[in-house]
Amino acid sequence: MKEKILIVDDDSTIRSLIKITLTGAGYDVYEAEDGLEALSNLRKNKFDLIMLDVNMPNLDGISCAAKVQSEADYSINQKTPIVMLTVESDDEMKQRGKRAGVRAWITKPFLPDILINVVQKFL
Amino acid sequence: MILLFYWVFLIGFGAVTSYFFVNQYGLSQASYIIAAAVLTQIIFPILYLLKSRRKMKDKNLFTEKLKQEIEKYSQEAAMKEKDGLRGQYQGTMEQLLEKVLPIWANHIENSQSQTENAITALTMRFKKMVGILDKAIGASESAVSLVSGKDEKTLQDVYEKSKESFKKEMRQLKKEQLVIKKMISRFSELGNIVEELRMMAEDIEKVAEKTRLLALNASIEAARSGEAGRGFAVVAEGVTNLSELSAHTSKNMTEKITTISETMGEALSAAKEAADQNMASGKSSKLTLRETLIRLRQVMDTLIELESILNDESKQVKNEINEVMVFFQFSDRVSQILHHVHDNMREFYYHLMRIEENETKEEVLDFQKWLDNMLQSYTTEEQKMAHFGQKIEEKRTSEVTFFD
Repeated sequence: MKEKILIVDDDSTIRSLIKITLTGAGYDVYEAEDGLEALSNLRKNKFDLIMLDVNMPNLDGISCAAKVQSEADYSINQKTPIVMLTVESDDEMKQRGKRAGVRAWITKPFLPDILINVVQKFL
Repeated sequence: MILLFYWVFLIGFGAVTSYFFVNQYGLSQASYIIAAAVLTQIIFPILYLLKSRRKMKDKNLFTEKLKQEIEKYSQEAAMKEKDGLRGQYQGTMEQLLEKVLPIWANHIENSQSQTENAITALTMRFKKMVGILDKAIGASESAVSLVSGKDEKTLQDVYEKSKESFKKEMRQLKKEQLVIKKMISRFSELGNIVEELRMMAEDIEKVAEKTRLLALNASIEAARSGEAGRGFAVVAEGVTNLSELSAHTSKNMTEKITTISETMGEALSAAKEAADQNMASGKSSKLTLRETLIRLRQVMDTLIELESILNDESKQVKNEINEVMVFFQFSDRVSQILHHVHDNMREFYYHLMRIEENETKEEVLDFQKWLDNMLQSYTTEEQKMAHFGQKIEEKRTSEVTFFD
């Protein structure tokens, strides 16, 4: 059975590129446009990996990660590894991510092989 | 009110003075003086009243005018103050615009540059991929032309033709083998019959030999018996004749069998010859098969070579696609940069509106704070570099940090 990955990014081009890359590597990929849509999905469905952008409207990626890790509504996904995929490369921001429960931080632009390698490390 | 006091005062004063004049000069003379005083008291207030009314009118006009003047001066003062502030703001705005506009220009230039670079790179990559695919198609076509014949345009055609040729040879070979097998089987049956016939001829010959010996003994016995044995001698002679006939028949049979045997030998030789021909035909088939195999080997070699070329080119195409995917991500970065510029410009517009409404002063004047806020809002290193007008290096590789 294919592993399920939720990708969350407000840029539709980036979502398409991630989906092409991960689908090609044999994963089942689901999409959300921002943190709120992601939470709605994470409340009901169990995923094997969550990939989040940082800067998004409505709810940013780090706040979304913190909610998933700390709130009971998302208990089915509390052990799911969270990976950030963002243009942010600031160390302070990375530390915020780490405190929110993020397991890996990839800076954009991403190379497809690197993205697959990181996902394979967790799945 | 003043007039009322005035009248009360005049009436009181008039009464006292009238009493004084009546006592002093008598009623007749005093009456003139009192009358004159009363008239004076009536006329004077009337005159005063008329004068007061005029004064009141003038005062109202003056007040109104004064109010207008004050308002005018107030407005002028406000305008002067506003103009002063505006001048002050304009000075600050000019300073701010001097700083901010080049930064916005840098951001927009950066976005434009990223867009142009990405589109150029994407175009180049697609062109390169088309070149690789053309090369692959060319290699495939030349590989086919190397191994194919007249009516063979693809490797499938070569395979189909070889298969047909091979099948034809196999059918012919099977047919010939069947005929020879059948023939040999028949000869084998005939051989058995001939053997039986030969044994029968030998049996007849043995019977004839024994019959002849028997007839010889009977003749001897008949001669010894004399006249009595004459009839018996005739029988013995007949038996001798039969024995000779049997021997003759046996001899004929043996001769015929020999003939049959020789004919069979010839037929067998013919069969062997057919077998030899079949062998030759087999050799021909083998040759055809070998040729077919050689061609298939060539096809295989070409395919292996082609596979190697296609593998290399597939890797190249994959690398190109990876590069294309990296360049496609420019849209995200450009979108973020333009989003920040847009937010900043909108905020700037709101500030200008607030200045127009004279609501805020300190906030607008602190342009350094404005620039600091801009700097804090950036998400990428390239935005910070553009802010300071530094040369932006293209970032092509992703960095990965694990927190485990």
